[in-house]
Amino acid sequence: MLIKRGIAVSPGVAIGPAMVFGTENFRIPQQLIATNVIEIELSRFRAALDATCDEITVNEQLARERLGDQYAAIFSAHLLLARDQQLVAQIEERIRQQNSPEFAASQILRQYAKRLRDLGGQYLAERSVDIYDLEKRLLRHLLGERREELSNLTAPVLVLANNLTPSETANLDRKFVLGFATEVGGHTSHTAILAGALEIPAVVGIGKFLDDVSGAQTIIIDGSHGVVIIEPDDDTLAKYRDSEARFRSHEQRLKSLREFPCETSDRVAIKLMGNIEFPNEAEPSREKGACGIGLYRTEFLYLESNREPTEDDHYRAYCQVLKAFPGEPVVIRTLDLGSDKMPGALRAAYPESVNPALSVRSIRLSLQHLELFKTQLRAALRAAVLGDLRIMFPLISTLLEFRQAKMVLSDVVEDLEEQGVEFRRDVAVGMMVEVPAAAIMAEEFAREVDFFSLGTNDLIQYTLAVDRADQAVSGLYRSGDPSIVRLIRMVVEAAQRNNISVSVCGQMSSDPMFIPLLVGLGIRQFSVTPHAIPELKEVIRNLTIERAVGIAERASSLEVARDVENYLWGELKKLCPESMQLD
Amino acid sequence: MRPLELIARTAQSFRSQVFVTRGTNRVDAKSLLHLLTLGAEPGMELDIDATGDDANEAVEQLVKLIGSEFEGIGPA
Repeated sequence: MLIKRGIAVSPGVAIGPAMVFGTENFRIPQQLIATNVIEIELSRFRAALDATCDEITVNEQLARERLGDQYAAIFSAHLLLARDQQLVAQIEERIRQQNSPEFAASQILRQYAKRLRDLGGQYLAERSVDIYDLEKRLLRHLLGERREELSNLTAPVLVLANNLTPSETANLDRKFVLGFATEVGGHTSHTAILAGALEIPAVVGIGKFLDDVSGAQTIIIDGSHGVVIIEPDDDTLAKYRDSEARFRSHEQRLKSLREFPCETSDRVAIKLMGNIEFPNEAEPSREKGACGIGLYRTEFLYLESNREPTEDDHYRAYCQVLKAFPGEPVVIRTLDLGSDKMPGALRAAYPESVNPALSVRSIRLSLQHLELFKTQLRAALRAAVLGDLRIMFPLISTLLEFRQAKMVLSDVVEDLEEQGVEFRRDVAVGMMVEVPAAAIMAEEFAREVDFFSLGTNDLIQYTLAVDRADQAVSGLYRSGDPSIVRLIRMVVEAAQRNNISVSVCGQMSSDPMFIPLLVGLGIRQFSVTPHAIPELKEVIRNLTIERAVGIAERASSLEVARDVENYLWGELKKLCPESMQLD
Repeated sequence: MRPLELIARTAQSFRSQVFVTRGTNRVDAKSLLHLLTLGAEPGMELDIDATGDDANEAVEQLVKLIGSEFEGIGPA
């Protein structure tokens, strides 16, 4: 029995056989193809090869512009390899012999790489690395960046991986994936957020552990405590089977809350809305009791494929969400990607930044690429005809930035008007408050924006200067830090004075412990991971405003994060003793 | 550009088939990948042969290129 600890990101217990998912090893879906598809497979191979060469050419140009000819030469050599007639002929020959392009390319390239390495010498060793790189690029184009295994499951498994991309996570088949655990990742990684939404027990950020597991070994994933147990002994297994059952009955009890309104016990309504990434999460959110979408992250439109989403792609996605919530708010957050995760077409234009969190991202990216930005805004304004769509700009740091973004929006309004396209003009426009500068200037912002949404994930990261995904410092990331409490209070008070709404949409609001504090600070609207709604509702229904204010007062007087969190934890236990028995 | 790339690119500029031989290993001079498998290093003896309408020219050019020891180019 081996126990590994990581970060608990999605509660519940899962017990079952492991499926280990390699990192760089693309699984080749099939080795052989039928004779009648040889021509099709050949053209698929050529297309992938062309795409690979295009990619290398772009890199070459970039290297030339930014670094000089010397560096560009590296890529011109790569191109020479990719276009090698002998190589292409050999791979095509294999495909004609009914090998799949993936299998043929991989086999042949690996043979060459191995041969060069065996010849010895550093120069050839480096070239063999180039060839492996070429293999990876080619396979990525052939497989469309999709890893086949996960979509073709036939029996229940626990997925163990170095990392899962958000798309992979979103597409996990809940029927067969009982839980997952990854080596990297943090609380606020998109993968973690999605795991919660899918209600699959998950633990991330475990550190290196895949070498200790082999496929089909029995694994326990305890997503409530961030524990993964490999080959548990009988006692442990029995204990977990018991807690698995108790977790289920707890879920049942929470489900029964669905019928009751979300209000404090002294009848003050608190709005719980959902955070979503994909349009098809809208309906499940509503089932969980969400009264609107407080944060629709639109990044997946950009990340799911390598091409830029069209206006219609956006429009269709937004309409789907609006239809799930007729008459209720749906807040569209405009593109929130950075140099670490650029949308396809822009990836080449920005070399990896040393410090992506402080570089070109979110609204800064949109303001540098107005066409990209306008496409999204056009779609949003058109979709707004269907319901209460609102637009929210992320990562606003200065008033000027907000004004610029609004100016672009009015350009789009003018364009739509001129073109006689049906749209809605009186759309509410708000901003994320997630940069400390914006929180500090909340009073000035509140005069110009229609609403605030506190993005606590980034607000904490920027205020405390901690990247939560970085294991070396993740312990310093504390939602309960007094500086955070104070910033939130400033923002809420500015919003109240200017009569605009303010909600909290970061992970902090999905943690029941912080609900009494936030309500006490004056928050009446939350946007949370949908699966957390029933649990938060229970906390809210057990709370009075008076008590919440008292809790906020007391918490505000404490000087260190640990004391704040311990205090809030204690208060939560008093409020919801039943739920706490689970731990 | 590295010497082998230069050989491949030069060979590719001819219509003829061009081969480079080291010992018993004879490879297509237009293929960088095959040239790499020669494991050639400075000071080694290489044979060049070609067939086609511009074969003479091709051999001449390549011999000149290799004979110049790739002047002005970094080490292999």
